[in-house]
Amino acid sequence: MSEKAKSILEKYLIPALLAIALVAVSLWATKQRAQAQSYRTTVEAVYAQAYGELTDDLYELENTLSKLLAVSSPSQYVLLLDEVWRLSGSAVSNMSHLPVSHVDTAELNQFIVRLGDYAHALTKKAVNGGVITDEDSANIAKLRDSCASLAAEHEQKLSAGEIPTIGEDTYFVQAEESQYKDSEDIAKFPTLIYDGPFSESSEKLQPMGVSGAEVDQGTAEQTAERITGIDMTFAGENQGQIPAYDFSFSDESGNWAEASITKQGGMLLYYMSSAMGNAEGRPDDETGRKYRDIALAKLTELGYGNMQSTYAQYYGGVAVINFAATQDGVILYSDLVKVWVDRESSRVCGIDARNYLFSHRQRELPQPDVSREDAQSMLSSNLTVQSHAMALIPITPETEVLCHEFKCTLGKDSYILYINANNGREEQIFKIIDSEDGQLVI
Amino acid sequence: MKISHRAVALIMIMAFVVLLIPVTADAAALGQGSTGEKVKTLQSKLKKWDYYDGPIDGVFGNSTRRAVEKFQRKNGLAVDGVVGSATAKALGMSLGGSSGSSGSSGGSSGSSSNKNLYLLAQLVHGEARGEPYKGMVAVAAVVLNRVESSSFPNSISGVIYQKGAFSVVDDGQINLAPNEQSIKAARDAMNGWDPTGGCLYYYAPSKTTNKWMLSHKVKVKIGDHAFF
Repeated sequence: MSEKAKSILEKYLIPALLAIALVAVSLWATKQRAQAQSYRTTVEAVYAQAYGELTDDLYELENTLSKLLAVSSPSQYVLLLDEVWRLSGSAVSNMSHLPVSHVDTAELNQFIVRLGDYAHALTKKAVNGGVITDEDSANIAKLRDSCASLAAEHEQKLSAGEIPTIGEDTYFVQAEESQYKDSEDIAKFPTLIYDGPFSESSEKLQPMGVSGAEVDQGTAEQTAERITGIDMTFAGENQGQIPAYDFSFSDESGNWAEASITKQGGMLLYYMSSAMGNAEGRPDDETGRKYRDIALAKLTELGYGNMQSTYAQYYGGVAVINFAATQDGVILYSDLVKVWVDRESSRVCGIDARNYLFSHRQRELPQPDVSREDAQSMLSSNLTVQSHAMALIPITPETEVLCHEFKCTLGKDSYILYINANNGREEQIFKIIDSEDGQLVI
Repeated sequence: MKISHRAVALIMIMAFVVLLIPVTADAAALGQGSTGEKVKTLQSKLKKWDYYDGPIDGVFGNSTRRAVEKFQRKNGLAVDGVVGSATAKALGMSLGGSSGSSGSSGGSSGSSSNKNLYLLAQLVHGEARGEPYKGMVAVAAVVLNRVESSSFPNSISGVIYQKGAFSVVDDGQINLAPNEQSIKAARDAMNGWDPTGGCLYYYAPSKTTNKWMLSHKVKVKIGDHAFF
């Protein structure tokens, strides 16, 4: 390259290239910036929408609750309660879209969920002919007042332009501030006493199937090893809903086992271990029965009497078989134990007794007032009955009812229907979905 | 001076070129860990043509991957075990929409439970891979306990995508394809195994400085996580 050419290159070409590059990068950055701004606007519009709708829902809740205090006919009453339930669901859904910490919204979320749950419990009561008490009306009035003040508060924030934005987490009260004033806050929303899945009492249910004297760690370890047949080591205490000692095992080749033994009574809470199986798909009926028998034998060995298998699932090389306790031939559907069987080795590789420990006890079973024949006559005439059993089923977390259980078919579909053995009402219906994984009951 | 000029120019131009490389990611590709209707379609096609003899279960596992590789080898495609646009075209199927996990539109509850399982497995994969298996199940159990609690949204996706609830949602790791361990852990949790005994929160004591988290009594420690 000649000196002249070099000089041209240095004097003009490189600066020119640099200038072009700079302009190009600037243009690109401007475009990126515009795009980011547009994304931001879009996302904030979603937040604003969720917030606006939440405020609307709160106002609507206030109105609907007011109307509830004014109506007298049961049909209006049920329609309005239904509306409260719908609005509560909508409000909770809108809340989950707001860019605020779950810690800060937990309390309001709980209030709105329980409000809907309470309305649903009242609906059930009303359609079953229950009367609305003064206490219910007093509750509804208190709930209306809470909704009114919440709605006003949110409206005010909205009109002050405090719409939640990206990166701003101070919308609701900051957790650090709110954590110490719990005691006053509880009084902010009325306490509701009712029986529903989200009620305070059902969220604090105590295990009813755990009994006996407290055991020490050594005894618990022996129990774990006796049940699993594996030499296990202590892995810490668990202070969860059912206090327990945890034990673990693992080896170099990737095998592992975990077991948890309750402190009170030294009962098995769960046992889970690695399955070696690669079996896939659904086994034939005979093999399925074999797994069930293996599982049942293990339960009998562990002292669970009168267990009846309900349904099974197959995945990851294991069969998971559900067993329910029985009492005088009645299936107790709350008292569930699940057993995992490794399909390759036909060995029990897992047991989960948590449900059983929560609910198992001696029940006082009523005499059925409705006979099997009468119950069957109440079923839809489209159904073909395949089998019948007596069952105690949970209607709400705290209420169980004795029912006639009918397994039925309608065309290609299978259903399980429950007829209340006391008053002949249709209490529950499940649809059975057959899949590669086994039977799914929904 | 000369050199630095040139060097600067070179760096600028290179930076410029790098910035302009479009980020291409085949978001809709099916690979190991994918689930859903698309995977079922894939499996039934592979089965029909004798590449695959496993179940049509909508879960892209080892055997499905092997079948895809076999198909790719036979058809002169790049053998990577992933169904991208070229392989999909050769199979005569469209990948359209997002990865198979979304299932068919308005699907039955069967496919919606598949979708929930996959999302839960993605969360477990992002939050707890590298933890002991029990710790993976524990993270899934916390999500399910929240779904059952009045203080949280009432669905799996509502709980997982709640603002600030899980860091893997903020940094995008939630979109990684879960491994088989994570899927199994999610499934064991859905079947009722709860190693936490009903806990609603967890944190990594070695990493967190959050006063609110630290002010609570820990109920159980599993691996690197403390649960309450």
